Amino acid sequence: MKTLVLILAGGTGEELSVLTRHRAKTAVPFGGRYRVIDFCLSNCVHSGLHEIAVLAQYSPKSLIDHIGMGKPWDLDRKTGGVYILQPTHNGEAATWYLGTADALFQNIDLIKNSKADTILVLSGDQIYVMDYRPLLGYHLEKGRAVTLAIKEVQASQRSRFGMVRRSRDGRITAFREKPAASTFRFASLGIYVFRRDFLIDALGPGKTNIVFDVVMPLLKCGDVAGYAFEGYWEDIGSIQSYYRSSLQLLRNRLLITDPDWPIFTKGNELPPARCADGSRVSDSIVADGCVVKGEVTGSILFPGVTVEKDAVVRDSIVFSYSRIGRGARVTRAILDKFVEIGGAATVGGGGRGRAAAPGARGAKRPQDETGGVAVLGRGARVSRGAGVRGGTLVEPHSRIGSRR
Amino acid sequence: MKRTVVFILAGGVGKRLSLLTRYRAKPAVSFGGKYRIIDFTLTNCIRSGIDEVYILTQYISRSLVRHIGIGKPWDMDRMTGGLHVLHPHLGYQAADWYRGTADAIFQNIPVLRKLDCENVLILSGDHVYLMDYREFIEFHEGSGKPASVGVVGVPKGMTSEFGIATVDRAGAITKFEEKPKESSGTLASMGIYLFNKEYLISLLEELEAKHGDLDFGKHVIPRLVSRKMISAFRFPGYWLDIGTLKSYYRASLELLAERPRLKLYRWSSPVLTAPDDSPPFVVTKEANISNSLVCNGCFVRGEVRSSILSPGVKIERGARVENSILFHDCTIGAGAEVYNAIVDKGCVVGARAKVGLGDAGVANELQPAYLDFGVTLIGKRTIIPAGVRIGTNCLVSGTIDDGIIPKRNLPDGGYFVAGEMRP
Repeated sequence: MKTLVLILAGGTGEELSVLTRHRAKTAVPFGGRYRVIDFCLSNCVHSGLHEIAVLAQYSPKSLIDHIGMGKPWDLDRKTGGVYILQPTHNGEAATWYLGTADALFQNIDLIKNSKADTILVLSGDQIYVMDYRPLLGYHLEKGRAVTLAIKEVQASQRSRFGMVRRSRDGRITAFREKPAASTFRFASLGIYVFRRDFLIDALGPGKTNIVFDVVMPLLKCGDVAGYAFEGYWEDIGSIQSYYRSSLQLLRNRLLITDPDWPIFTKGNELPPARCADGSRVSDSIVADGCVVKGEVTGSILFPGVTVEKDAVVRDSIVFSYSRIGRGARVTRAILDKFVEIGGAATVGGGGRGRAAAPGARGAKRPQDETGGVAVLGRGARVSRGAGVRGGTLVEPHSRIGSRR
Repeated sequence: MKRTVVFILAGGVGKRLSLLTRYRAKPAVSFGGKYRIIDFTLTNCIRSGIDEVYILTQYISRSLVRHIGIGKPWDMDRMTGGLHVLHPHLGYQAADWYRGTADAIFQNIPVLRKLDCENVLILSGDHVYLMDYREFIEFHEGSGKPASVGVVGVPKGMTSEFGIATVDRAGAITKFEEKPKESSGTLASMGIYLFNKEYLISLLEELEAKHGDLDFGKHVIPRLVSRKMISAFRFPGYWLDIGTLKSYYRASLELLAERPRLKLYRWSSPVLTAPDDSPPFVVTKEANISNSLVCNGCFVRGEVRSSILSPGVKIERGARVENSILFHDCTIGAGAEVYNAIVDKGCVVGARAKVGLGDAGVANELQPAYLDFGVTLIGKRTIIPAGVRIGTNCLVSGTIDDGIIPKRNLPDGGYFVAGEMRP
């Protein structure tokens, strides 16, 4: 069996709000040093899959920057390797990728020209560790046109997913996209294995969505298999789920610390983290290049973050090169890259959905979707002594509490 | 500025670093947590626009060669130029080990001749400093002499550790003394030399006829001084020759100062090293870290003070580490205590073991000259069983491979070294 991997990485990630203003959802930082797409790329490499196309469309620069020619994953190869495919003009009418199936269709030459007999389609915006070999083996064994990876989810979560019913012999017999309530126990994980010949036939003009236009029509003839996955799997679908699954890492650290399944990523060249005299760091994940002089608890600091003296960072996620000034307090917040928090400023904390700080320019009304987490976009600046309340979304490069 | 090619001398035994250089060349010794000593010189080269570098190796070069690879971290994996390792080799004619620093260059004259360059910059692989060599090269080209040496100011009392130069107003060296007890000069040779290529070749050929163990400090520089053919470039920044275990330990812990003299934390020009894939470091609720450098891949549950943790170090619950340097992948067991120690790669200190407390006045029995300053050195992959007590100024080395594990307590100044170890 030879497998070609196609990673869908074109989504706008609107649901991640200010975190995806400048970057693709798959390039959102995660876990103190990684980007979301590192997880599926590392899974591929550990599973022995070395021919990978990443289908990108929205803000691809961050992704191109990050993946480059695939060196960190040993994917800079003579045969196979990783390449990024964006919509191109083919001489006739050209469009953006109109949907997941259309993205595949626009690259059908790649599939046709490939020597692979199996096509593995992944989503680039999921956090999970999975060996694809048992999935591919199951697909071969069942011999269906398509195999979906599925996972049992609790009833309360079912409205977030595409729910499926699986028969005793492992066939998928029904599929409901984000049902209000469902008796189906399994969610589709957005991980598909296709028989190549089938996929080539099934794609075509007007077929935009993999679920509706490719998988659903097959349900009747029973040609879809379901492979149950039992490990950790999380879809970064909202600020809230991003925040939650990030901080879950403090308990679930094996996801990034398993020596047998390292997550590969682009390196940085920063010096070791420095915990200064009088600093207090506990229950946290801290990357290279951080300088901590204050207190950090229950948080994740990406490379090059500075926490000045007497500052307190609690239950927060701070991206690269942000700086938290002297005596500032950051609680339940996500700070994007290059955010500057002035001395004695207060960010986040408090109850859910309070009003935004008065006079805050660039700050949106609080939204329930953040679950009370304050989110500051890239390069945002909070002046000395100013405040940003919990649940506030601050657009990139805006200034909060500036003197004018 | 004319084209300059670099030769890095990286073959020395580094005997005074004791167990640290038992399994590796000195330039490959870990420094500052994530670096190896040679990273500083290689980083300086690429930042100075030099992209053709030859590294002369000889003594246990495996880890050094592995670290350098094809020079990727320093952007030296080039089609033209790039990074190359020159090891002593057999050939049609007589072959020999490198017998001295200048002899190493002499043996590579065929390489030197083919190079398309005017200047040859000769560096050492065991210095820690950040320097833009372009200033040195410009000085050299303006000096009108065929050779230059980099010098730094040192305090009067320290002249006996260096080659001391006395210079005239124009910067030409008028006197050069090798490790003088007392001297009127305070300019110490950094052991980095810049030569006009053709001049260097003819000089080495001339001197090699007289001295088989041709050495820059002993033979080449004095000859250049007597001919008035060499000037001194004064480097104003921080420079350190990792000569002894003591200077290594001091320089390492100096990185913890509020404003260390070595500027590692300049985002615009970081020191480059081979990347590693470890995750960010993880600290648990019971951990307590202060005044320390901690690298990716570390896992800290205990207490860490004034120490340097290289990537992959584990500090278990209730363990305490103070004033120590822990190399890659060490594990300090639950309740263990480690004070004033240098712990080499992959060591395991068992639960409740105690290392490094004692009377610093008792020098080490085996190597009193190197280990008399209140630090205990634990060699690569040593296993210290649970509950064992090891004093200060101790040397400990014993791996599972040797089949010898230091099971008993060790008094101050004691040693337990598997296999042979030269005093």
